[in-house]
Amino acid sequence: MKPSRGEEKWKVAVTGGAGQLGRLILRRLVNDRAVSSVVCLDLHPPRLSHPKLEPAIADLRTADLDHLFMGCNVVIHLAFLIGEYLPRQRFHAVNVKGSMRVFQAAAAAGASQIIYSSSAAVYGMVPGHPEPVVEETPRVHQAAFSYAAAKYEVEKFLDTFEQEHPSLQVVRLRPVVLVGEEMENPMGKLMRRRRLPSFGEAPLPIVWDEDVADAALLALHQRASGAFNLAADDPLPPVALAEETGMGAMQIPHGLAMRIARLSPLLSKVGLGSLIDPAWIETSDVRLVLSSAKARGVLGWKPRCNTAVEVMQHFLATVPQKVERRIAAFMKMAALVGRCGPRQPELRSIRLAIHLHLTGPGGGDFGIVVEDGRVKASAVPPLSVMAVITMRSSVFLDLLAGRTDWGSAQLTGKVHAEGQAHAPMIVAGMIANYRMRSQQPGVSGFLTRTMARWIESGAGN
Amino acid sequence: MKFSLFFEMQISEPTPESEARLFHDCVAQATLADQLGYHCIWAVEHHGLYEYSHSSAPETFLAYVAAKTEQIRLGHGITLLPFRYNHPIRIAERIATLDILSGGRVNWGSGKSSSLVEQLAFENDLGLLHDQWLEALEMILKMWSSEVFSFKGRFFDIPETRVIPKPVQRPHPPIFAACSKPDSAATVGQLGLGALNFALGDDVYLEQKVREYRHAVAAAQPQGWMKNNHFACTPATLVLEDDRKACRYGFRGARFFSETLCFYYLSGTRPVGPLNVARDFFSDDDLAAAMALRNTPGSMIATIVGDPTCARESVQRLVDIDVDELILVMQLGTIPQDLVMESIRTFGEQVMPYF
Repeated sequence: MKPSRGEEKWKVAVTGGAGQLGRLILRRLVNDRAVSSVVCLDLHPPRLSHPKLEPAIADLRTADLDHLFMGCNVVIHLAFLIGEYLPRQRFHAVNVKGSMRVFQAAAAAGASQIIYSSSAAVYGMVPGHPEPVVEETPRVHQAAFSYAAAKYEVEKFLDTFEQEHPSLQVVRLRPVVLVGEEMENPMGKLMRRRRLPSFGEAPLPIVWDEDVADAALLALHQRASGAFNLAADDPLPPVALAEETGMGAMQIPHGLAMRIARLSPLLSKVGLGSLIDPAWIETSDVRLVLSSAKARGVLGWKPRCNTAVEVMQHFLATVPQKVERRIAAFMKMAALVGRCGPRQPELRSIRLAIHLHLTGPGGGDFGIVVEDGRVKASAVPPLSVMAVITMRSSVFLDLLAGRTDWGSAQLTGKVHAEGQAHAPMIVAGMIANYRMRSQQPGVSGFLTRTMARWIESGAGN
Repeated sequence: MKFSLFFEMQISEPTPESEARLFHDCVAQATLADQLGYHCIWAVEHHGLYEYSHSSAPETFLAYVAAKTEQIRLGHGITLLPFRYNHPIRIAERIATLDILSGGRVNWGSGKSSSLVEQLAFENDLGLLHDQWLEALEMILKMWSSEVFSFKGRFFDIPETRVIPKPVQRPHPPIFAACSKPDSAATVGQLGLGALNFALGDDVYLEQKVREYRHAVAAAQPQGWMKNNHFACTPATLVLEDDRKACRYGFRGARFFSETLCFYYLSGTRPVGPLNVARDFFSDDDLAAAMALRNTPGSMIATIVGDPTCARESVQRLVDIDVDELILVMQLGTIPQDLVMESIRTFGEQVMPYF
């Protein structure tokens, strides 16, 4: 999107900006020329650094929202506890009361638009819905499922709130289950291992998370209001979906799954698995098939993954199953060189924290931190990131093997860099260092050469 | 917006003949730029950066160009100030002489060097480079402003001496400094110096750098010299009527520039060259991808490569960011002389007049 010069510039606040959807929306906002600045509210720092971005560590129950939203034209409210099984009262305090505080503070700050990520669960995960479910389909309060109940209550509050603030454009995005590169829930963990959990026969409603982020930006640019379902078409039951895409279906008998879920509070206390609200399992048999025709028609939403099968195929193509062993070995060696090798005097005055994001089969997420004249690689991205370098794992291997060079990879867009502009040069320098060392005499040269031969013999070309 | 040319004096796989030709080619480029109304030519000072930069005696090159040109300004981008490279008195004398002979056309930039190759070749103490730069800067400006100069500092103890001649630009030629590290634009701004930057990052990042610089320079109160609020950057540039041809050669040259730079500055090693970098043309697929990426939102702003229409778009991005001067790096390794000349002409006639 390229607004013409002189167009008004928006200040946008995002709650939950460090979450799965939040990160994607933040990235889009900071790269949007119509957006002048972005305030991110979250319990955690956002994994992105950008001059337009003002991160704030904030708890929606207590944060000074009036102050944080000052001057904001748009508030995008994403923060919500989803899967965690918490005492009802705390769940309610964060999700429902926290949301109310956000909306009221947005109105008080004089914002002209609120974009709220509601959920398909707002219709209630109960049997008997029409097919497909459209935005006018009556919503059902499902007291037994605290997540769905909270989503319902927030929208109910919005119904009144909208009437009290007629000048405020309120958008309610109602996505189904988000599938994407950085899923933090148990389903995501299984999917990375190419397993799809199946508890029942109902179609699994999914949508690619970047498509949802795109919808939020479309709603922002069009100053839209109203509710929008967001789901990939043609949802399939997990077993069929797994079969169609070559994943393994993990069929868990309903009763067993329920028992595990009920035991999860106990198990998680001894360090096994995470807390799951049993209602997630109980409701997995419910058919909830949404139509996104309105989003396509009104917002001009063009999801990159149109169908559930496409979502899953995209997941398999972009989300690494396991780090390629050559990449893993290189990063280990780079970590060792960074720790024990000589300092690089030319880096003395540079401090940088880089997230190296390698997508596709064999990829993974790594950290590269420059401090004290050293380039330190690590197996996890730094918490507070100043730049993100993204490329396919195969491109990274090509760079290591000298099959391609950094300059052309960046000029052709195979390497994408965001944030601090020296970051790509640091990563390029790290690779150049390795390639130079492989030509040197001595033990280190020999070891590097041996490794280089192994890396070059690997996949690619 | 001011438009200038940058001379690294790059050369891929030099022979004695091609290296000698390079210098005459650069003179031809500079004189053409003068005729077309470019603002300045900037020559670097590097030592031993084989292929990346053969411009080790820019004062000689600039003096020669001064005699062959009428209007164009002559920039040192930059002179290395740590005293093992150049004694401050010699610098003050040379710059003043060039200023006199060129009729007051000198822009003078300074810096401290950041490649291990030259730092160690001149046996520098790496921990002192920054302080040596600052002390020499102060001294040189003082030499130009005092009839009789004397100085007692950390590195120098110079008795009363007449440093002659004086520059004709009063009180002194505009002064600049190199910014090659993430925070150096702001540091240079605090000193009240013009900032010479690489063109790195996307619009938003560069805009932020300019803002930080403006903020710092506004607050600066330099003692001993005139403040120079000026932000310049150096995109790799090739502009030809034929968009695809410009990209074919321009991206190859831009890649040579960034790859060789990376080896000399960021590899943590001290290469003596030749360098193991790619010199071939992009494949058709890569070329198409690189062409499509130009001027898209979030794209890097490091190149101005293509036909005049595309170049005007790229320049507009830099105008929007409030950059004062583009020091175009057209003299890139691997790009043949006739194309560099064509590019200087095409840009001068079809892009420059729009800004």
